[in-house]
Amino acid sequence: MWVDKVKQYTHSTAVQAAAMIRVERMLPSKGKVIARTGQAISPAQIIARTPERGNFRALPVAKALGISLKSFKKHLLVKKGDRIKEGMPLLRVKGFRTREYTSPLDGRLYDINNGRLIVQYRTGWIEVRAIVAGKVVSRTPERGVTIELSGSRIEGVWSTQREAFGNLKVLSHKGSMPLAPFQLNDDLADHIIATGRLTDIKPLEMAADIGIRGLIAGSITADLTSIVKRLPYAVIITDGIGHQPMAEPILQLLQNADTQLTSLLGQQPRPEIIIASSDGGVVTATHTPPPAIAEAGQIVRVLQAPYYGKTGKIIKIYDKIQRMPIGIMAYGAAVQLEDEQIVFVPYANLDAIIG
Amino acid sequence: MTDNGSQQQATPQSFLIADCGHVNTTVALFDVAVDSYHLIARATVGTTAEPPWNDITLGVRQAIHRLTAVSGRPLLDRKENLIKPARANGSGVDHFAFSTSAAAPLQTILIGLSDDVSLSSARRALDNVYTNEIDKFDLSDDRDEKEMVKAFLKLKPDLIFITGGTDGGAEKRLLTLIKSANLGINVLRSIKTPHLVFAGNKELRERVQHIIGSKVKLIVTDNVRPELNHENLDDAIKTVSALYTEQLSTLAGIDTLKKWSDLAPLLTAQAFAISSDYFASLNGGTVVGIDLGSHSVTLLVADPDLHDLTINADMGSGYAAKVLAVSTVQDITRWLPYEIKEAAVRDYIYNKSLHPRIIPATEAELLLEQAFAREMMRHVVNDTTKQWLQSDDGRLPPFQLLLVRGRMLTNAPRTGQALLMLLDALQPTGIFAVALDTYGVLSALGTLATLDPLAAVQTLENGVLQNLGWVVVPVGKGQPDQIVLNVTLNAGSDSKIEVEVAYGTIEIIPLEPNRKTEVLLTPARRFDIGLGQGVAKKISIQSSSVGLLIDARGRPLTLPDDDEERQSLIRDWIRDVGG
Repeated sequence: MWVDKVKQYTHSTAVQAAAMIRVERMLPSKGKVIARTGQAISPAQIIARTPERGNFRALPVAKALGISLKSFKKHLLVKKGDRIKEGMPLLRVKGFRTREYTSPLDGRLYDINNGRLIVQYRTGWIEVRAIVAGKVVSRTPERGVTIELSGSRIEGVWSTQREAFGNLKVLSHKGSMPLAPFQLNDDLADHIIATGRLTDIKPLEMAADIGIRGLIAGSITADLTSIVKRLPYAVIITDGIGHQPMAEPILQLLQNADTQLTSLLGQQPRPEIIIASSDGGVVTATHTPPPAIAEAGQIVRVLQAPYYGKTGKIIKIYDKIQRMPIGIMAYGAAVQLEDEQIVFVPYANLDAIIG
Repeated sequence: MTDNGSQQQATPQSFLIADCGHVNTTVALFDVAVDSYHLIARATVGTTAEPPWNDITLGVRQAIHRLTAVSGRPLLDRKENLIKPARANGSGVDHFAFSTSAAAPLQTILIGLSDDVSLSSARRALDNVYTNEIDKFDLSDDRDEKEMVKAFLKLKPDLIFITGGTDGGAEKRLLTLIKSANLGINVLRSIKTPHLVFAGNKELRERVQHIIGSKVKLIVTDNVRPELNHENLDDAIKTVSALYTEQLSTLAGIDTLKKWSDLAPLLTAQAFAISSDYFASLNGGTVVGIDLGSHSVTLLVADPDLHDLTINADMGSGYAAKVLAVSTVQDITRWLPYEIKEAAVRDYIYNKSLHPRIIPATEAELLLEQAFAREMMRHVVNDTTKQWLQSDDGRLPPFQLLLVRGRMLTNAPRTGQALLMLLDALQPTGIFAVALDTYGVLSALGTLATLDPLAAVQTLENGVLQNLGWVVVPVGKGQPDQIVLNVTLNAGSDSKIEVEVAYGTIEIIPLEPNRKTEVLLTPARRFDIGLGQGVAKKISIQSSSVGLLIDARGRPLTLPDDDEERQSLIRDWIRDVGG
């Protein structure tokens, strides 16, 4: 009677077509939210901004004027939080020969520390763009907004930590096809392109020269991971590091969405690809699906050899631990692969595709 | 809770103990059966602290359900809450407690006077907790104040640990360093407020507090190096452990476990150390413990009186990519009996870090995982022996028992594979027994010992480990085929078995099941099995999974440079230990 309560949670990847999606767009620190609730928003629109706060300069005022740490505060002309301008006197020591320390820069007095003034200065703005097209459904004061849209959503496994949007162009009809130079041309400028695998640096550099905005691939070799981080476009990998093909459900969804507006959100802990529905579409799922439980009928992909990258369906859950061909004992399920082959796969090597 | 045997007999209590690692959660049930405590059942499932689950209790409840399925004892009520205390109908449990290593390690910047004195002591203290040293500043650092601030802003540490100066010793240079650090801390506060610990010269506490001011809470502990030749780490360890426990509050669902628990959560490695202390006391000797976790590697040496613990929270069998920062691909592939392209090794290791739960499904992947596991353990042993023993030879001190945790080791398809990985990585010497924590309950036992020491001792005595075998490693310089050890086994009645072991080989001598065997070990004149060159020893050993293994390959272990020759040798060794 208790056996049926033993749920087996598996790792999962959202591959949702025609879903209602919510995307949070937030500043890394407090700032000004520009977008309003209810406002229709386009991907390039700035929804919030804040000054860059990471630059500080310590001004050794006490040492410069030769005054003691104990007495220097009484000579200060500014207090913490004050805006200061270049040339503005910050400290004045009156006497036979009055001495002044003037600010060498614009900024804000952040702190006073051991005879030094810590000035925070601005070099620019941190701006958060919408990246997705949709409607603002809520605002988080001083942080950002939540945008809702109907469309498709795919969770990736690795990214270059960049964000981009553009129209999608799927270059491969098979998930195992590597990106090759012959697939690239100038018409792909400003597009998000999708391909099976990334195995060679040459087409990646060509894509940069053409001016693509982003790239989606099933896999990338380990040696290329550091190289693509230096390229000027965003990359999201959907399946793994190595030579794995793009999982069939992901490839199909991308093929069905060819030419549609696609957003790459690569700065999240789990990167996401969001494809806006061109016609509003019929929404079949809402927001984020719950974590998957391994059960008969669940669509899965296999994360480890010898069936790496293959998708299939769970047809049986084993209650008892099983011995794998190499001798390791593991709990798992019988999975019917696309080619009808039925194989045992440990739960640890399964990834549920949830929509 | 009970603290003596008589109370135990009057009201036997039951204990449910969970250990939540990064990847696996094990729940174990301990109760009285036939007059003493036993491990009744245990279940291991995936940990669910991280996305997509975001609730650590999902995995714990799942494991409890599995435990119920095995034991037939209902432990959760209809609302999925723990039934506690145990009821007359046999459901529920009297006590619950847990240990965990599932929270991210404390990213730590060290500040001190010198790398080989004060920072070295700081590291030894921090090694006891899940911390990760991301930068350090000492007097030899040529970065100026501005660069120090930049480093603080870039690295955003969780903990800044300041040490330096013996009590009553030098002041000025340390205070200058702290003033610079204070600037960094103040600037960092615009983004994040780190924990700040001062474990240096006690005479400076007030002045350090004055420099830091009231904006950041300064936590003061005993000086980790009060005298040049004396360390005092306990207070610092306790303080940083408490900070890591605070970090646990970032784990979704942890509050439910805390509500169920009779104790504040323990750290997995510290719970493992407690159970190792028990083994050291029970055996009256030195115990070495190794835990190859998914996200950390723990090494400990426990004597009846004290233990040294090192947690490397920077890499593990799942979080594998970091091994490439301490070992080259060639270092890894030298342990493989087959040819593989360097790029394929990097692909596998990077991918493993993306999916740390995956387990190998082919022989080639299994051997590759075992190869990088060797490198991780080797790195931790080398690093640790340098720290503990100030020794550069990477040699562990002699010990009598090796305790082994971590699923890559305990779940190896053949026990000989686990033993070979350990011998290659740790390169131990002398005579010792090896025990595998096959059920993954050693940390749970440490937690149990905190609740009820007698229950822990009885459970240990009733057996919870898999006795892998006995190992003898003769040390000395020899030539191939030179006989370095004679082994004489008393096989019962008047018969004796004699085995000659040649230099450069591994020999496994199976033992008769269910009985003790008397073994006489006689090393060659210039070889040492721990008692001095040529000194023989008689031991009495119990039967075990592997038997008696003689590792006569020499120390340090050297591998041929030629690829084919080396791969052939590795194949031989794997075959020798059972495939």
